[in-house]
Amino acid sequence: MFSAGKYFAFVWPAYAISLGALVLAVTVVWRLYRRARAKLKEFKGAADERPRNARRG
Amino acid sequence: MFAYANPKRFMELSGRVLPWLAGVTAILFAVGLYLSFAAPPDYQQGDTVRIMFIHVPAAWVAMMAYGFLALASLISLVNRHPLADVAAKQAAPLGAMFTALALVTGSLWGRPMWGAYWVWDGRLTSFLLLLFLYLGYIALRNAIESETRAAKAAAILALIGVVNLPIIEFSVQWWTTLHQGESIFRAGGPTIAAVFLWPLFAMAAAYTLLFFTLLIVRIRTDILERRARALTMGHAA
Repeated sequence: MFSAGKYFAFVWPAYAISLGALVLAVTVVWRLYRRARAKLKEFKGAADERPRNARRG
Repeated sequence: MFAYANPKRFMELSGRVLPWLAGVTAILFAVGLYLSFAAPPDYQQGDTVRIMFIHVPAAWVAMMAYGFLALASLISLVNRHPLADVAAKQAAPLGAMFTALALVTGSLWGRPMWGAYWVWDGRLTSFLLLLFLYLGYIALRNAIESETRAAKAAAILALIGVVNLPIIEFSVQWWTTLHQGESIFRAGGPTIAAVFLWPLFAMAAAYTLLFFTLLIVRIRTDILERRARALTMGHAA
């Protein structure tokens, strides 16, 4: 028979690692998405500001 | 399905679905975590049984993600569908993360139950191989400069790696192993009490939806980056 208290030590690290990794993944994925969106907006803005003749190539 | 699988339609549809998907995922996580700690300790394992609620869903999603990766790779190879290739490329790091989490949490469960963090038995070794397949896929994609050639080579690797999925699934039947056998999806019904099944299913649903939420955001990011690159090239020309 295992004692609950004795082995509870393994539960917290498992939850901390799992939830920590998932929160980190969500943060990184979302930040990369926002950066890509901002970059595209910036490029689109730059393209719109160019003279019409230049845009036509 | 292919009708929605062009980047423009995907961006429109995913933009509408994403907030709902993220919301449902967050609710499922809250419910799953509450049920995980509301469940009573197991009569043999004590509180250590709670590791099951994060270990098993991570392992399920890791295998499902590889199945998805292989399917997307097959569609990419056969139909030469650009979005399928993007989906495969973006699923690989997520799958690798869930595989690593299953291995780490399994190790933390194994120490109090088996007296060892790691044993070289069929289930654990084939699951470690799954992590190497994911890492190999990512490395191969990054090693080849030509996007088309990288996609083709990585897709072939992904399809070869599919053979590992049934090995993982049936390893506990084929070989003598410390890892427990099938206890949920088996003939005769689950051997786990309902009080443990509900938190397990809630967390499994949360992990699965999180995988698809992150995958959709990553595919959208890839499409936006491609559009930005196209604009840059347009400027250069």
